[in-house]
Amino acid sequence: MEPDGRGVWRALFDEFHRRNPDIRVRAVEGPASTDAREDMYVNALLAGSQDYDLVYADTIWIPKFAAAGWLVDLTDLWPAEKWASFSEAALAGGTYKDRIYRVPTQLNAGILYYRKDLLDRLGVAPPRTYDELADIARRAEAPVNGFVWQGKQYEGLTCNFLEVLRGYGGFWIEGGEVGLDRPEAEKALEFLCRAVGTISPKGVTTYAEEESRLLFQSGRALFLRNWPYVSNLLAEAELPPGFEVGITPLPAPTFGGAGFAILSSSRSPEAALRFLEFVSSPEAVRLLYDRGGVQPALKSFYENTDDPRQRALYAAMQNAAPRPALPQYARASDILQRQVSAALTGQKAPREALRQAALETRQLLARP
Amino acid sequence: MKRLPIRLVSVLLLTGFLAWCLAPLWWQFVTSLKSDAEITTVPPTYWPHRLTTDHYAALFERRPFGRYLWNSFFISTGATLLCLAVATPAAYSLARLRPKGGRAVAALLIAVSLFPAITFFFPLYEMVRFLGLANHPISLIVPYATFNLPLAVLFLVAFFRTIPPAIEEAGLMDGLGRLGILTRLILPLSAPGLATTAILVFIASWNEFLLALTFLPRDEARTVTVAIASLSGGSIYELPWGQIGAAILLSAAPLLVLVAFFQRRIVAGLTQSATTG
Amino acid sequence: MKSSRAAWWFLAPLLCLVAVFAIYPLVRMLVLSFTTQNLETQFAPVFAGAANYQRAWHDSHFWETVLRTLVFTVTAVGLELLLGLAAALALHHSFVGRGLARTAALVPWVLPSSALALGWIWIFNDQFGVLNDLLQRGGLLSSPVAWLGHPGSAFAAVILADVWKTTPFLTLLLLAGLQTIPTELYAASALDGASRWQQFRHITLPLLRPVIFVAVLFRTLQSFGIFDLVYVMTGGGPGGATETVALYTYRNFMRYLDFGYGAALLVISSGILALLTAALWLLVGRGRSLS
Repeated sequence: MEPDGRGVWRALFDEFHRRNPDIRVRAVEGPASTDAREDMYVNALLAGSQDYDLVYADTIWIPKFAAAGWLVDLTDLWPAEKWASFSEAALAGGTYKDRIYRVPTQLNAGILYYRKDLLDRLGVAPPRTYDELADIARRAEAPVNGFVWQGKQYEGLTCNFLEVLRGYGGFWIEGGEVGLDRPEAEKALEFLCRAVGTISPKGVTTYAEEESRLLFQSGRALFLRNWPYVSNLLAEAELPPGFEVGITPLPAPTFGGAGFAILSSSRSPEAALRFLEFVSSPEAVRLLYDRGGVQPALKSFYENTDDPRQRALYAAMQNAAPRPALPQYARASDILQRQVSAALTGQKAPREALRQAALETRQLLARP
Repeated sequence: MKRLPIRLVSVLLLTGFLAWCLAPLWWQFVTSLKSDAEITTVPPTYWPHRLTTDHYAALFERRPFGRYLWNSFFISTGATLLCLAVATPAAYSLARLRPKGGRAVAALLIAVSLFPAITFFFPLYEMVRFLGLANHPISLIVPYATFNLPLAVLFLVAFFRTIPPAIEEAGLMDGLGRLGILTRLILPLSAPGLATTAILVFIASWNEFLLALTFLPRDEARTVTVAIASLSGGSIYELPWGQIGAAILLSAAPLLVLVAFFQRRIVAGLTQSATTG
Repeated sequence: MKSSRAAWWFLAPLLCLVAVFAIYPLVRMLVLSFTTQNLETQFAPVFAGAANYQRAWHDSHFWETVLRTLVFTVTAVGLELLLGLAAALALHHSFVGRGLARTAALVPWVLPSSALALGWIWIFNDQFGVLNDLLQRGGLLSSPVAWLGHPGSAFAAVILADVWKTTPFLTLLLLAGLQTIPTELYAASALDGASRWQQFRHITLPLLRPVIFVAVLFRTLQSFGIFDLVYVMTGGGPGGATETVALYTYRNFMRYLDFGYGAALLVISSGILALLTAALWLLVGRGRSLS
């Protein structure tokens, strides 16, 4: 479970206990980073310690956990109509080899935020391609940066690069093919490399989500690539005068939400299933959204809302695509991050970095 | 004429040396006593405007920190006792009974001590899984005792050699067996050597990280070194620096107490193992 | 005869523990390195011959981590030795507050590395870190630096943390070594008109060599296997700039779940360690047996 400083999840468990007095949920708060949390679960699972019944799993863990036989196949536990009530992108993020292993509780994907007031003043519409974005971003005047994103070497960089790559029509790994040394990929990486120090601040190569959000929020950026949680924070925050937030879809957003899965080693799978029923109920979804801004994954939430912001977010995330569903995803992503980061920090030319990444990725896929 | 500057220089040197050794820990101490607001003031304050022990309290209220400390203490003590129980007769044998092949045993011990912990962790991990001992303190006690055997044996061998052989001969005359000589005559005389060895093994066990990280996945089973590393704050993005400072001090406290009381002995032990090693 | 049997009985518990918890793991690693055991095989071991070694040969990332760890080891141990030697020589003569210095020197050495690593993250913090503040006050820095955010400075930061932890300890060892050198030697050479430097070169250094050898050997082995400091302090980043062999190997086991391959990497790095030990022995320890 992720850290719960705001007590959001505690509120959810209290509500669950009120309705199911015979079951106690005990949440274990893990470390903040997704990789460290994954390690925590993997450790317990490999050591054969039956400490957890449920995992609050990031989408990228699913293939590995499922391939290792650690997750319960949930596909037939619920009728197809019930599964259909979740957003397709969120559901796909919990699917491995056409079987569903995870109940999505969060819809999460890359979003392009922009300064509506400044774009209006420039008299331009929000961009639909990265080239358009660059054209507009170049017109930003100091101290306002054109475009901030996450360029630090971590999973976020994979998400960012993948979006640009797909935005230029390229692909990473599809059907056993590696697309990293194709011209589209080179164009994508060149775009990001050119951005560093021009339309993006030099420091962008050390930014994760929060650094980039704070820069945008303080009025010092025209465009921001980030996740939906920023929208909620911006809505609550005191913004500089005249600051108007715009939300528009990225050309090809990366999906990245979390959800609950049942472990095959669970000693009380029935209780775990009842929790899954509860956590996907509209009331629980509402509670998580109201108390903690957890972006719902239920379609009905967006169909019934009058909030234009939520509609815009939903529209922006609808065609989000998952990252490759490989059991060896962690290694593939590490390869990509390393090479992209090396190119962004000027240690390698984009073409050379991509060729190396493609080579290592092919080696990875070629293994039995 | 020349005396004063030399004295001054050596005081300055000493001050510099002390600052180098203590400053980073001192900074954690200062941080742990500041309020959250003061921790994030720019520029940082070098002594808290208002002292608070909230962070220490939070460690015990929001997390089972007492439990972590106890786990570390239990495991380190267990490993120390086991290590001494095994190393003492072995060292006595090597020092005094000198069996044929004793040198080979010593060489084996040294060879084993050359490998870093990561070389052993995975097969041990397999054993832990196979025996269903995950989260059990024994999964660390036995490996820790084993890893510290080379140090303990070499050190005790050196110590036993300093005991006059006449004592043993007297014991043999009195009809004591080898075990009797060891337990009744040698051990009482070896208290200083045993104490030093125990302290060194205890410290090494307390500080071990890799095996503790992987063998004890359950939160309440964790040792303090691993628990600290996974401290996190209210959200995914912030780290609770005050609590971390407090935790660093608490995790170090037992060791600092040992150092304060036994510094002479520890240094003697370490230098001896390096110069005779 | 009887005494010899007793001798082996006394050694038996030790031999059992070492056999089961140290020798067996080493053998097991070697065996594992010739199998594929990962997600694709559902964790079942499949004999793979030398495939893992071939793969390691072509794994440029692995060799990058080896090179990086070597650079780290040489830099860190070299700095520690230089600083430790300087401190020991300085503190050796007319030494005020010996007990105090000794206690203080043990503090860095005794602290848990993982706790320390967190402490360093805080000290190196770009916005609220004390290092940036001190350097700015001293006029050495005009704007705060994200020390752990850039490849070069993060690598330097890890070295600093390691040097900090072990230099005082090395100082203590060398001090003890210095105390064993008879002062008459210096007096005699002074009569012969030897300069300070000549005394150092021809008396101090040769006589300290055994201590230096043992200290450097153990520090080298330790540095080459460094894990906890980097695991907590940087996680190997940024840009893989601080990823060490031990960290990458650990990832192969616990993150990529590629056990056979991880074992092969361990065998290879053990080989490198053996080479390092041999090199050190030739360089510093010549003429001195290990036991």
